[in-house]
Amino acid sequence: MNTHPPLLSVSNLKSGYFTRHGTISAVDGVSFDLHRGHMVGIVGESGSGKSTLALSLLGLLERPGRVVEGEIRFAGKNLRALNEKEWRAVRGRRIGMIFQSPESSFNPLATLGQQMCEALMTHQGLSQASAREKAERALAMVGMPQPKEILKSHAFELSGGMCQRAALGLALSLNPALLLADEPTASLDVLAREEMIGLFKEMKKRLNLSMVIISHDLGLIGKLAERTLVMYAGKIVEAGPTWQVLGTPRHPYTRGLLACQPCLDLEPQPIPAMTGVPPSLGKQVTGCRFAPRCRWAGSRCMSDDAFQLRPVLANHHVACVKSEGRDDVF
Amino acid sequence: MLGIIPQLMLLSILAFLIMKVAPGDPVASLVGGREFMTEADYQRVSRNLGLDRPVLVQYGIWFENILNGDWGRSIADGREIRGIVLEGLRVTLVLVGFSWLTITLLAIGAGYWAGTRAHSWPDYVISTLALVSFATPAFWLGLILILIFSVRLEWLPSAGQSTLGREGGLADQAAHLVLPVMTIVLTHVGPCIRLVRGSVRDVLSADFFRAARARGLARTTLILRYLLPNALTPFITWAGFSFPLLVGGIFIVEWVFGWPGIGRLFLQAAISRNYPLLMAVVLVTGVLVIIGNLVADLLVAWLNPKLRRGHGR
Ligand SMILES: Nc1ncnc2c1ncn2[C@@H]1O[C@H](COP(=O)(O)OP(=O)(O)O)[C@@H](O)[C@H]1O
Ligand SMILES: [Mg+2]
Repeated sequence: MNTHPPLLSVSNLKSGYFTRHGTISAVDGVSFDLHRGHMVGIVGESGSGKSTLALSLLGLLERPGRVVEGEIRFAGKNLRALNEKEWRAVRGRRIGMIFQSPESSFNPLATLGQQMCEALMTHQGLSQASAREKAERALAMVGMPQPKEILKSHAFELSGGMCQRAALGLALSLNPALLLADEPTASLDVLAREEMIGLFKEMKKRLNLSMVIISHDLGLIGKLAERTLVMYAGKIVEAGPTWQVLGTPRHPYTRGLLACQPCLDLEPQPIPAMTGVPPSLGKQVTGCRFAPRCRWAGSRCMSDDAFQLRPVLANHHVACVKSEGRDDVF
Repeated sequence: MLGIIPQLMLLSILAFLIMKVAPGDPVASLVGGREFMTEADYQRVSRNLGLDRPVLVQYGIWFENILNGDWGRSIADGREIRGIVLEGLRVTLVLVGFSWLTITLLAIGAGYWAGTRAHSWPDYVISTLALVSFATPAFWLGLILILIFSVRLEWLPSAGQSTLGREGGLADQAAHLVLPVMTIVLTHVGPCIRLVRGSVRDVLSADFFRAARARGLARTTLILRYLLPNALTPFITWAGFSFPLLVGGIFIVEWVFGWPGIGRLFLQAAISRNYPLLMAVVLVTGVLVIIGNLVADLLVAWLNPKLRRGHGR
């Protein structure tokens, strides 16, 4: 296995939203490691805290949200100790991020060229001319046909797929060590999605890129990620090598997700294979948070440590009391 | 853009009609009454003035005269209307200019300040003041301000645009500007602050702003290139549309403070039935409003690339 220290190491991360109506623990003790050149996929229903996790990693949570506890080590540094100025040297430059809605990655009043150059000039101290050149090269790298023309356009003049490419081009032009992608294909059509997956694959190989990909799209995760984390109600309920998690899922929730992949796209409807909806994250509950929706739930599921991750195989952890030992409990 | 030509035509027809339907016989009024002239004289003068021609032709002649700079003479004192109205316009524009500048600066400053501190007590204070300002009539506020600053404290003059005999003094003119500008600003700035506050909040929570933050851009870049341009577009649009409102407010303020602008001219002309003057004032005010809207339209189109591209092609 990997003997180098991980590029990103998250331990016991807790983030919440502190609203007038109470506290929502959107991320509740998440831990995982990511090595250089690897991809980790995060899946889970809408509202399970995936976006909050991603925003926490980049220090972008805003009131009423904030990181409460835990550690985020990135390339040896504790990111939680950074002040706003130090964060600015990490965001974009060391850790890039792309979002779900491609058009709204860009300022509607400025051209893509202005925005790419501005980022390059901020982080790499380039002149306007060399920033423009570099932006062109970055767009060409992500497979944009006419980079010069694209740089002169506004986001609203491009298709969703083109915008997402441009957003990826912008992020990669700054040579980040880590890329966070929050539902990067959710708003794209089938063709653009395929292209995007191909592009991620290519970039990963070419740039030795490390990525955290959040997606409903288990197909995408299956093709790209070495490890997969399944999130439910702010916690990781299953973590392991992708082929194991998606191939032989151990947690009933993961099985539910796999059983109804199409419904994942139509969030936030309840999943038919599972009854009920995700719990509201406001109140503290003891025991397994998935138990109310689980057809195999029993009395042991109410014990205090029922929702803790436990190893089932080397590298494969599941937060289910029934996953211990035998394979055929369900 | 071309839409302003029919607007101007309509406006001029309106102004012309005011004169036509106004009570009183213009020919008779020249000599003080119909009984002082013979029928032949009456016919002759009417022909000389073109009053025997069809109304449409009269309108054409009148409009041509306006375009040629011949705006006629005031009934009250026989002075050239063009001089009176243009001087009034200049004086009004001074008031409008300073008021608009102050409103803009205050709206951007206070709106930004409140928007970035939403739901804190300074935000509540600003929002409350904005609401109170909106609900205050200019007429009443003007009198209150005169009572406080002119009558009680004797700090500031309450009438005119300069003290008689000291027309040249800049400080004197500035002192005369303070109360009217204050009245206009206080009664108009409220909704502007609320609007900027709202759009600042919208931008702060917009996806593209979060994406920009995720790129690690400098604070000043975020504010000057992302926040302000996006947050001010609605304000500029609204400022253009509400320009007639501002002009209306100015009429009242000019009356209260004896400010010798076009608004006071309008009220004076209306009261003394000085129709040629009234007509010219209506025409000029209308042109002012149309130009104000046009400038706002152009500014918004220039700011908004979607519209800019649309027109370009
Ligand atoms: N700004 C916010 N204020 C309050 N609650 C929020 C806010 N954003 C997200 N949440 C809550 O946090 C939980 C996790 O949301 P999110 O991280 O967006 O989940 P996901 O990305 O998995 O759909 C949800 O219950 C959501 O309602
Ligand atoms: Mg999300």
